[in-house]
Amino acid sequence: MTSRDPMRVLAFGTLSIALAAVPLPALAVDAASRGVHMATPLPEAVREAPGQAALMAPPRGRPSHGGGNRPNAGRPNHNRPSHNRPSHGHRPPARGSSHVTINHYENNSHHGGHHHHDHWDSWDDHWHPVRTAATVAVTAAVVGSIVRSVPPNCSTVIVNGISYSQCGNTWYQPQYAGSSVQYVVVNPPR
Amino acid sequence: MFKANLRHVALALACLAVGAPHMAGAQEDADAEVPDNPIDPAAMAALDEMSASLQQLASFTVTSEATSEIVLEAGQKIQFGAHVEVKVHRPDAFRVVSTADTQTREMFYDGKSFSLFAPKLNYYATFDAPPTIGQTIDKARTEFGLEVPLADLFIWGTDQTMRSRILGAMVIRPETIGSRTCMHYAFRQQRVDWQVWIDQGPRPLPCKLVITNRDDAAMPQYTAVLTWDTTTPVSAAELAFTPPAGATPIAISEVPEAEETAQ
Repeated sequence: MTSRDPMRVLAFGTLSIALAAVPLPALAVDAASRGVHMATPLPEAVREAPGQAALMAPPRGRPSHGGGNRPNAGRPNHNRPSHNRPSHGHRPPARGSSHVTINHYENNSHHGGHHHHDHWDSWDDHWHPVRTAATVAVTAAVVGSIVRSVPPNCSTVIVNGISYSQCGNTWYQPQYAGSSVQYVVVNPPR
Repeated sequence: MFKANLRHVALALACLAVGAPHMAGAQEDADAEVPDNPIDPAAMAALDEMSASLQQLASFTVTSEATSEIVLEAGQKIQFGAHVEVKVHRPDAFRVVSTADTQTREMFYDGKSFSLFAPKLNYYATFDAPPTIGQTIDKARTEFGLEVPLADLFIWGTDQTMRSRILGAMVIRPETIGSRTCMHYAFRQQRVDWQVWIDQGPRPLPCKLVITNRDDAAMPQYTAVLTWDTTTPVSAAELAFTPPAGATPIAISEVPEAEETAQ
């Protein structure tokens, strides 16, 4: 090490920090020029994970109990305007997120966010936004399809020790995928 | 004498070999001795010291104010905050509680099993866990796609591969974080850049951690400022998971290697 090294180290450090703070100037300008406001409602986003997408068939389906309106009554977080969801343009989907550990990928060969069940990706416990506003349309729930939330008027039913969420004639089986809870449409267990 | 002369000749040749391509002064020759080594040994030594200090703690509590970012498809980043509390009783128990408006999760490990609990949803899942914290964190990630926040704190010093993944290491400078003076280091891995600030007080514990995901062009970051309690003992018993009344067990899906039907 010579006496010049500290300066070189500092210069590199400064550059690195500057890059980290503003990774892509173009993006920053882009966001600013749109005048994006961060107040509620939050942009709609879900994890953009190939592995998960494979699980979600169809990923943007939002099977319902047959009604179509989604009253908020009985939901703990009823101040959210979930019955008045903004269109796709106001709730752009997410493509990725930060990692909570430094060896997120290092021990496996899954690339590009395969099984990207990050701790932070869900936007809410009770109302997982879906990818597009197309989900407002309701169709019959296809057995095997997976959704991020169930309609508000479902009831938890335990059959043979297994938890279900029953919503009219549609039965969901909740399960964790990473730290997120998702709901699989299943045949009625009884 | 003869031997000494030979040594001089060898030295001169060595100097020529190093200096010749540059045709430059002694100053630059000195630089050339560490030509492209992106890993500053001082940074690695500090990391080792911090790891050793972490390993010395039989039990500890860390609380953290953390921020994470989601990248929207257009590249816009949205930041969220969370409060994370980590309690560890070595060698085989921890509890990690992450509280956020977006998602609240509690994770428990007792040496035999790992439990994941969502208090608002009142669902929990449990899987059999290996006998050590490190193996358990690894299993959670690789088999269940579950990342334990701040897991690095548990396994620094036990996971020997962490060191080998580092492709670059720099010492930045001492900085003030709250009332602490912490030396700032920056590291580079293949897909992740990360920075750690290490307390310059008697215990070289991390004051702050920043993890930059380079997989995405927007480079979303996770930031955690850490507050340590190394004096209050943490017992294994207080870390145990007891499902609250009304909580129901559900499955946790394994990471699919191929298509998986969840029935």
